[in-house]
Amino acid sequence: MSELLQYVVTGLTTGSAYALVGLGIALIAQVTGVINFAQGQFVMLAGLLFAVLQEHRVPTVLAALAALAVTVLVGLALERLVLPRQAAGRTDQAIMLTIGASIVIEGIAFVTIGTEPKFARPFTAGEALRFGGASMDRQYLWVIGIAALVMLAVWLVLTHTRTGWAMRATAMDPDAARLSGISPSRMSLLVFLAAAALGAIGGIVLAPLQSPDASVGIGLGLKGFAAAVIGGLDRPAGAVAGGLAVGVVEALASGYLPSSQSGFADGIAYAVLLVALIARPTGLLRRVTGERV
Amino acid sequence: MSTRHWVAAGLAAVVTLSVGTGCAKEQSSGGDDSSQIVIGADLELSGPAAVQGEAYQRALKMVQADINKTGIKVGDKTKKVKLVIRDNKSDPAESLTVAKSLINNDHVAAIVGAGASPTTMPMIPVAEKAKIPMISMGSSGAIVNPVQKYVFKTPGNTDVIGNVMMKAFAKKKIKKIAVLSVDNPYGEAGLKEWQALDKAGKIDLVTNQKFSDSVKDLSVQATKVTAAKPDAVVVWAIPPQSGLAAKALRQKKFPGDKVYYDTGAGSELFVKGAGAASEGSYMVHSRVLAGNEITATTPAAQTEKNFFTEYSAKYGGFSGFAPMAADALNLIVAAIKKGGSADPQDIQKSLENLSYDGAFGTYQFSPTNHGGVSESSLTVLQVKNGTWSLSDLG
Repeated sequence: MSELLQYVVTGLTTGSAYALVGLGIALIAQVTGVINFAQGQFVMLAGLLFAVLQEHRVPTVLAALAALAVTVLVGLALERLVLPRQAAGRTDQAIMLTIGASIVIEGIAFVTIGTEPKFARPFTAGEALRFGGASMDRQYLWVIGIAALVMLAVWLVLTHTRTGWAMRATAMDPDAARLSGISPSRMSLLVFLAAAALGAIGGIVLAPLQSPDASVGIGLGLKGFAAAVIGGLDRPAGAVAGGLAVGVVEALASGYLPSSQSGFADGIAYAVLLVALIARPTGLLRRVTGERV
Repeated sequence: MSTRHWVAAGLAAVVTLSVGTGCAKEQSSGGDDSSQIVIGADLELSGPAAVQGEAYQRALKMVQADINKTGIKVGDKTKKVKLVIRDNKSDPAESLTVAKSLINNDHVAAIVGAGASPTTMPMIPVAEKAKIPMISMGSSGAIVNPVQKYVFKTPGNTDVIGNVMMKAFAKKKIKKIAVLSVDNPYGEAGLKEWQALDKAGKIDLVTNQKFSDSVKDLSVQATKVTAAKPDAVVVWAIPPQSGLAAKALRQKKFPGDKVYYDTGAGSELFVKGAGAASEGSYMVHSRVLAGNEITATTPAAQTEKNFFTEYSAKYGGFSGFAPMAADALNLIVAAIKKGGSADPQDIQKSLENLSYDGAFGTYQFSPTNHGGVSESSLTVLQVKNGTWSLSDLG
């Protein structure tokens, strides 16, 4: 029983990382129609920069802010370089461009920072937390707390501010939004900024746990993509649910698969993705009937 | 475009991304010059084993600079070593291409590499066919067993490391073990060794867990192995997973001094990654890792200490992988000096009868033994106060 609890706890904690990445992907998909495969690279870049700066004895807060700032700039550059290049309505081109950008960002990180993993200090020192036979690294409290805050903030912005309404209006119908004075181009810039910041925050809080290296972005991006698709792709809340679901299923799989099969756990996220697409093509949190227009 | 189309494009992208990543780093190429001996290196400069590749590359460059200070006397000429280092992206297929390119395009006299067992295996038939000697840093015994004429290696074979650990277990009265191993040919070789020892009735393997080389949290695996109540846990992984294993086992309150790591666990990267959880852990490695503690009473010990000091000073930290590559290059150079020829055939002949005291340990090559380092060069180290130190199990 305490083992089951441990698996679920581990699953929720690793799942919160996928949820953060998935949330960024879903936000961008909702507003621009583009799937940003470079989302995982935001997480990698911020985590790596944060850890490198800490290794050079930069204070934690400064290191976090610098990593956040650089990542947001990269996100802005990505949006300006990639989105205007697509022919009208051809989101597939922009999606391919984000893949290219993803490989470029990873390559630059390889060449400038190197291939070794970097290690950041936990925000607060101390032994792991224990409850009911399960244990959890203290840093995960920060991950969960900050992820929850960020998700709440995203929800508040989307539902309670003019900018948020404008974003959602753009998502529903860019032409109608433009007629009512909203600039879809500005909205797309804003949403990339938000997604880069989300990714960066994820990267920074996860850095002490996952010792980032230049190659972690693609794996995280793909798991985040799975999370977003399972959750319905254009629903931010769905991406969060999808991320947590993927994390828990992965942990349960590695927990309950027999030893000789334990290597399969890593691929399980994609198996879940396939099953979810077949069973609920519109996402976990979406009613199956009625396509939203 | 509908959601379904996005998803189709996305799935296509999944395939593209997983195939098309990795960045090629290549350095210098070509140019025949009789004043130089061209030696190729087939290394993991990107991909999951990049941690190793980076250390190998640094070690090779350092050794090359040292050798070229004086040069190598071949006949009546003094020649310098020219290194052609190529990235195999930690990919066996890519490693095969790299090996072919080094032999056919760069006309190397010998090859250092590959740096891991999975990337070494496909090179073997190529080197054999072209009759070019190669020295691998892969740990699997299958590289040199059965003996292939042109294939040598530096790290201790898996069964040798198993032997060293078994002796430590006997001293500590450890009978039941659990194995945590990375799910690739490297981890598989380790796991197979323990399964064989279990079958032979020499140890009781109570459970084992495999994990992917990109996994970022090992709590679940640690929960499963500690639930089986083993006397000790054996870990077969490289950084950062080796450090994550230490952290996860500590979370489960499993004592650090009951965890044993293979040579691949890494030196400073392991300690940095695992932090306080590394304290007390044991690893089978050459004593070079405890470089500060070596009392240089023999020439062999002096070589190890010197390498540790020089590498640490040059790169601001030590890597347990570095001496394996340094020795590979030094062995080739020693063979060239011994035979007085840089012809691949002559290098092979000299290598096959070479005894050499290297940075990683002592080598006794013979026509029936192509490596790696002898068992007497390996010891059991322990993390004490955050550094690898000699232990009571040595």
